[in-house]
Amino acid sequence: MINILYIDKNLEEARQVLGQRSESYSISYLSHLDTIIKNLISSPCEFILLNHENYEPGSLTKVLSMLIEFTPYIKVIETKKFKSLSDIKQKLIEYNSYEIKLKVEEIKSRMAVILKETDQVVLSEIIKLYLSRENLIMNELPKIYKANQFNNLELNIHNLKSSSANLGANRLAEICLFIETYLQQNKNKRSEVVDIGLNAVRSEYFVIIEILKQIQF
Amino acid sequence: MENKVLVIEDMPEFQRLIQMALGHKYNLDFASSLEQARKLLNEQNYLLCLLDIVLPDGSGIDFYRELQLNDKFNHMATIILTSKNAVSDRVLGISLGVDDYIVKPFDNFELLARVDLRILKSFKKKEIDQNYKLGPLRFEISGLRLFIKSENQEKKIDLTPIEFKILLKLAQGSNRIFSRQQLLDSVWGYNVYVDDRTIDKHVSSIRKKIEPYQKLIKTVSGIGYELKSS
Repeated sequence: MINILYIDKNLEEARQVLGQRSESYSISYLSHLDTIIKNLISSPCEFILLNHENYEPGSLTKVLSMLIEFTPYIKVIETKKFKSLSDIKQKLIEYNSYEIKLKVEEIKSRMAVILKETDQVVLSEIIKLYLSRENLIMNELPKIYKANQFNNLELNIHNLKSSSANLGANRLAEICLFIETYLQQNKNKRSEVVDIGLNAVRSEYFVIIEILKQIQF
Repeated sequence: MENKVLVIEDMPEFQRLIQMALGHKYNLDFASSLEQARKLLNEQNYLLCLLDIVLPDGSGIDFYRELQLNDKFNHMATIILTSKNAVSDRVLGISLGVDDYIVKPFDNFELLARVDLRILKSFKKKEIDQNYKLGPLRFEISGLRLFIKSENQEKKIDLTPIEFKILLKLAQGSNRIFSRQQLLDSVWGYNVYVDDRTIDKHVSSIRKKIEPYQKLIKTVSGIGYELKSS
């Protein structure tokens, strides 16, 4: 299931057609641009659907610049690229299926390489080790950050990046790389960028562990 | 030290993959922290060190700088193995003088090939720096010095650099016949004209200087010389 943030000044019609949640997606709605950070911190998001027509160009530019700087791993798509809200709904279902397939293929492909170079036992060990970090990723990382343990956070994010890339979880590795780089460049500084990033890490890690549990290897 | 490689890596999955890639050929010791690595390096000698950059107790880059200050590790090759893929990280590693920089996730066969290559190069370097021994003769190659066994002691022999090079060439190809021209090419190079009888004069001088082992150098009539190992 993909997580989407839908931004439009008038949300009524979108809410009616798309709803809040389906098998393929979960949508948060937002009309006030100044609450976007708060929304991204509280709800995970893989891409943003944006109807820019009713916003002041200045305020929109500011938000888009901020998104590029804060969350380059979140895609922003304009709603005008679709024929209608029904078309959006259909595309979201297709997109979810495509994204999951792509992630499964990336992971399977990397597993095939590991299997070729090692054996079934080693591959199983590597997957178990990856899954064993569930508590750390889902629960401990926010605590580490809350306690201002920046070096510890950087080390854990770096390790998650390495182990994710090793298993073909490329989007998660990309998010971790972004957070790691941010932490290096902004030493000992708390920021919404990290809050949103950690939220994205948890959401993506959850997707990856679901895929790993389902894959027959 | 035979075939010993130190792997400084804190993540168990990469330790496992490295074990699979190199374990059949090299004797691996694993350190999950720099503290453990320091301890192992004090106790053992390694041909090569595989070094991660981000470790729980510090930076692999700083650790490499530390190793460089210690002569004990002059002959140990170092390969950085990291998921830090930025050009700035690679440039930093290479500019510090690490022997190679490999990015995770890595291909096991490529890792083995690179480790093999670095170890081979280290051996060659060490060979060049080392002493060379043949029977009663010991060559200190970097200083162009020759020592011969005299009773239970070693005696330093004053050879000219040319004489040293001729004798070393003969010694390194012991029991092999070298023509005068081969010796000339090897000592003076290919584009220098020197009369091949010049070799005879030098060999005659060497024989006098290495007494009582002058008979180790045999004249092979019509061809050149050989040095018998005993």
